[in-house]
Amino acid sequence: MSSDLATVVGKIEANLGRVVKGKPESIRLALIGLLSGGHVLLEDVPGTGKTMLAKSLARSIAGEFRRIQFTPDLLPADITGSSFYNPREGVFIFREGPVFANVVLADEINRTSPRTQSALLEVMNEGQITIEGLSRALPRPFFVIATQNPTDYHGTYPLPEAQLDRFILRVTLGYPDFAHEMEILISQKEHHPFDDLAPVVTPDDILQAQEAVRAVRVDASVAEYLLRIVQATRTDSRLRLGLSTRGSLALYRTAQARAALDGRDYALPEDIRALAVPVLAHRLGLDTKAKYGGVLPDQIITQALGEVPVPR
Amino acid sequence: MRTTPTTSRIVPPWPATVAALISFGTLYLSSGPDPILPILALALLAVYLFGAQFVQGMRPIQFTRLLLFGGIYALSGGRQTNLMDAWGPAQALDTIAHVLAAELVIRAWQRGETGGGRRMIGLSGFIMLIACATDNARLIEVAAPIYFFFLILALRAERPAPAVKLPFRPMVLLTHGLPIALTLGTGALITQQFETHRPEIMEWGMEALGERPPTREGDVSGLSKSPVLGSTFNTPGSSTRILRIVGTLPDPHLHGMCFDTYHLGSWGPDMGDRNFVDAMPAQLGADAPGPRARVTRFVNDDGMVSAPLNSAGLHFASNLTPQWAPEDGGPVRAESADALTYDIVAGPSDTYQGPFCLPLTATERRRCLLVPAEIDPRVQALAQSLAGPDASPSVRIEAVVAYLIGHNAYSLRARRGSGDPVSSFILEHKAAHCEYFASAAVILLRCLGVPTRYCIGYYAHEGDGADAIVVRGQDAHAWAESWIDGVGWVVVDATPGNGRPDQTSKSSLWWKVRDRWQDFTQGLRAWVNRLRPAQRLALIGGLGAILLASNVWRLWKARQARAGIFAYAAPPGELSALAERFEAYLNRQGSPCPPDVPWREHLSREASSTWDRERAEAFVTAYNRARFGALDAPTLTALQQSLRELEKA
Repeated sequence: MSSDLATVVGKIEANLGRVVKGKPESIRLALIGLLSGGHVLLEDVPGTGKTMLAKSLARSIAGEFRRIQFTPDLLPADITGSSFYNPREGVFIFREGPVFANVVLADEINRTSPRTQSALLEVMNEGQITIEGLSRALPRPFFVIATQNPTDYHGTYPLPEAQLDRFILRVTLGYPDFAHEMEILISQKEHHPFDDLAPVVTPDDILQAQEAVRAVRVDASVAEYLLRIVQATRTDSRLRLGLSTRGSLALYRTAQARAALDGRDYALPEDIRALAVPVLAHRLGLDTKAKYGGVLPDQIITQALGEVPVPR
Repeated sequence: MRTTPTTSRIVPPWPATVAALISFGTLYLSSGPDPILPILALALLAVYLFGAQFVQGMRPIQFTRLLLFGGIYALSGGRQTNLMDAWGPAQALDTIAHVLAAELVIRAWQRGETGGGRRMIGLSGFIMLIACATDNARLIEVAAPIYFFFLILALRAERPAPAVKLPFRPMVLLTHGLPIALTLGTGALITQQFETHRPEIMEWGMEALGERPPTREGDVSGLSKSPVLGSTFNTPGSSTRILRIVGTLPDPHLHGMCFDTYHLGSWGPDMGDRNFVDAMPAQLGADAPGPRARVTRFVNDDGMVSAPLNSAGLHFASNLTPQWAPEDGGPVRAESADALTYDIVAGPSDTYQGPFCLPLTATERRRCLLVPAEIDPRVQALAQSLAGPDASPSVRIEAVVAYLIGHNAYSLRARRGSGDPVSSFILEHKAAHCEYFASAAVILLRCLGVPTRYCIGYYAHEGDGADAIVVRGQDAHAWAESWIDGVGWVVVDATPGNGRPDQTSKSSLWWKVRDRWQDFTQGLRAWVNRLRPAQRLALIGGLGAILLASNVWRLWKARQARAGIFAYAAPPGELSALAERFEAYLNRQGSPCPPDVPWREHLSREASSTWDRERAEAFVTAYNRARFGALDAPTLTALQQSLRELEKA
């Protein structure tokens, strides 16, 4: 691993650790998402620090940061931007929407209408916006970190699998343990540690780190292991929808990122195993019987991991 | 991370094995006929497969099951005039058990993808179904609950445990309870409808099944020892083989037993009211001259011996003492638990009088001429109009037969009427089955002064090979027998041609298959019963060995398939050798690494082990770098060195 990547990762991790306590795995997963060049979905019950993690990650990068609070009345143009008529000069002027930023926090993404959701998801995939026939490139790096609450369905528009597929991985946070929660209470006695947070890396650092991730070696046997896990989900009768090729690619790229974060220049089967659930589970579509029979997508992935032998 | 052991999916759950053994045992102990239940199970399976095509597959299944249950209910209870007699708790339990057994087999089958023991469960259930179709009710009562217990255990073992345990909510009770209540209510409603419209359903069902009545356990022989005229057959008989006859018969009517007392549709005297005495071979005409036919009787049926009325004699094996009741119409009985063999001596002519044709005594003549008081006077008048006072007995007989065949029709469905059933048949309803025709012939002939009795037996017609005849329960028939002075007893069959068993039994493929299946199971049980204890033990052991071998084979095959699918390209030779040595090292430490777990993860799981974990971890790290990263000479040397140290320690 290049020393640059180590420095970048170290700085961000230290920075995030000051705010999000007791969740090193979740921070690491979010970083893996960032360094793989994908977008991350944070999913958990309210009040577990989703938005805080997203905001802290965004603030750690010295780039442009925008936050969009998704509401039912949000329109696609509120995200992408729109043209205004300037009567003095007699021309239309394009005013950029909040997506023109390096880091975009899409808070409570499932609270807006599918139309607005698709506008964002399309942008995420393509890295550019076409408005009124003109393609406008988004700044690089472009990183979307979205949050949603999976339990409260009232007044929400749950994202379909096809849209969930756009997120390279899904991170859940969970409640902190006793000691860490104590620490959170004490650290926020006077003011929130987030207020002291300053950017520690530049967008260029991130771009370089992403380049370094792509150079990580993935042995043919590791790639084969990955594909066998994916294949196993495709033949599982409990699934309505198996994994897409985008899913395989995501697992490949994130495995590289995990290896890089671990200081290796080669990916291991362990990387695949560790990332299989966060990267793959949200892409699976359960069939009705399994869904109401209490089967979770995580279980299907775990079961596939238990069946496919590891290359040695 | 939770992992599923790879072998658990291949080895069947042990309760499935126990269920299979119980079903084998039941088959081994049981004796009796009736293939209808396995066929029902297959039909239900077909229904399931069809139903599975629907998205909400359970609804048609539930509905079909209820229909089936109602149908079984209707068909089982349908042949008795009094429903409650026919439908006791035992039969209800039995029927429900069969339906459940069939369904469980299907459910087991349904778990195709994850089912390790599905074949075992399916097989055992099928065998249990065959075994269930026996006469031995007590056996089933004991075996079936145990069998179901293990089967349910087996099915539970097959089910993956739900990940989340739902908390109890009153709403769940409502949402689950309501459909259950509705289902039960619907079931009751359908059953009630079946009950109300049973005659129509019966008729429709019989037509659909080729005009042969459905069967029920216990009605094997088709002969009732106390005949009652009802709305349907007294006992319709099954497709079970009753007799097999090699040789020629003087008459297809095989006389079984006759009755001379009539009262409101019931014929007597009962078997118990007759005076049975030992019959000497000479009395039965054992040594009479003439061609002989060899009869094998498969079903004991109170020891009843059947032979043509005009047989010259009956010859039994010397170790057997048959009984007969010469004063009460002379039925011959020979009790035997196993198949019984006897010879019929065919008489030289139609009028030859053998053991079934004892001369008419004065008392018997009086009984055979008695026209009961409940007979409608119009019947008497009708009889007188059929033949003049000067006509000879044979002319009167011919006139009565011609009248009945000409004016009354054969139907499986009879209306008993409110008063005397025979009068109502002759005068009003004019459509019924052979029991009515026979009874009507008896009454009309008695009105005309011809001593006549009512007779039950079989009509032999089904060929089996070149010179053999098979008689099944469904070939049971009823006719009249009249005495003509100077001639003796003669058969008077007044049933129209389309009502005789040879005409009513359809030769469709369905029935042929059913009959062959019946013969097979009957033969199998007889064969098992003949085996010595040691042989039986060997049989069960053999079946167990086959089961075991098939499982081992499946296990082996699954392993092979797995090995084929999951083979990775081997690493370079030096690394392979190192990997093998390290695996061997782990095995020596008593901690073999499962194939689905990476070494490092395995080492971290074995935290409590006493061996040198640090060195092992160092080796794994170095190996991984060489295997999945870049392999160079110094790394390899270092690796070899590291493993050597590990092995030494």
